[in-house]
Amino acid sequence: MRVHPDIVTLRSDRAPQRHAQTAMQAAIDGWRAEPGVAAVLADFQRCGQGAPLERCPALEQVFSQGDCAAELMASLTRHFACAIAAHPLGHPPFRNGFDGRASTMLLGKSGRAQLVLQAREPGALSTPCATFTDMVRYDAVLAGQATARILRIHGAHEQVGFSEEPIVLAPGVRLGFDCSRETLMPEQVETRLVTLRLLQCAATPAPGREYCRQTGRLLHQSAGTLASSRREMMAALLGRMGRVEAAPVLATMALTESEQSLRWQALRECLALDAAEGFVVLGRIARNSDDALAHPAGALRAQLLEAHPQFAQLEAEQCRA
Amino acid sequence: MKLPKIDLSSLPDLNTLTGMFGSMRTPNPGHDDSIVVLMTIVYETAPPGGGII
Repeated sequence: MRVHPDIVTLRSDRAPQRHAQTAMQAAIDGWRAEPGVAAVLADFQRCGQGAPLERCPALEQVFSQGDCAAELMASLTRHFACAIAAHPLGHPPFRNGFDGRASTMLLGKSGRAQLVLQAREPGALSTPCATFTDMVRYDAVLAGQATARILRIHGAHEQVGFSEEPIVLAPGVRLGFDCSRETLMPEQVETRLVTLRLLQCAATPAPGREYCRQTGRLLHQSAGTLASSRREMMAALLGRMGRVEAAPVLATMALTESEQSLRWQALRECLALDAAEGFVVLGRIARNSDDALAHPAGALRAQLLEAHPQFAQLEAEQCRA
Repeated sequence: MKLPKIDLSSLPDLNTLTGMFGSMRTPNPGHDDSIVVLMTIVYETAPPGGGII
């Protein structure tokens, strides 16, 4: 394997890498000190705490007016271009990904808000599905040219209709989307399309939904937050480990979590670990007609009562208590 | 009271299943715009929470 001498130096002596990273941090600090940046960042933090964009005037200006976004990003890239020229092996401290067609750089994350710089390479894009997630999104097109379609859904959850609006993306275009009903589908990128994007998740995001563009049918649903998927995996792990003492925790999850899928999986694991604890929770959910899980819980309760009459006795004892 | 041991596989799932966060049926070409969570590979140079804030 051929290893570049510069990399060999880095491996044997960590000091140059540390110097490079110090230079990257200095680039960020230099950019933060530019006029107007502090106000935008303060607004970004407010946005992360849930403030709507119209209550964040400096940030709103970036996503609604003339050259503001381009100037902000030109100043950031100027600082980093100088730092990288001096330290070619420095890593700008931004999470990033590139798959040959699009690159994404996460400039910052604060609470519910994310600021992303995205570039799409030229070419045609065709997507048979459209995904909708529980967030709002603002785009400021900085460079490039593309044709796209704004896709809006209407109708029931499982089966939707689409309305489409063709649009040309070019520098200066500013867009806002309620991503639970709207999305932007790029179709033909003529020259590399660079977009600054602000995302703000809902406080308790509903699951993401993927629809077939041809039929409008719901094809897939995914958890609204990373945290709920993590908890679901923890619940499954406790179940596989047979941790009976975790049943009360799973019961609480089934009653209090906001995502219905997570609640249901916690309930199943609870029932399998400790039938008595699980059945009591199942009954509480089934009896609460305002609960989104009342119907499936009622059906499962009836199924268990029929298969195992002992549960009726348990319920009677609970009532007496 | 002796209660039965319930087999997990006998308990039904909801009608609409919900996959893990970020999962999708049909991967979009290029990056999907709807979810942005990028994994940090080089922790030393890009610690979680890094960036402009």
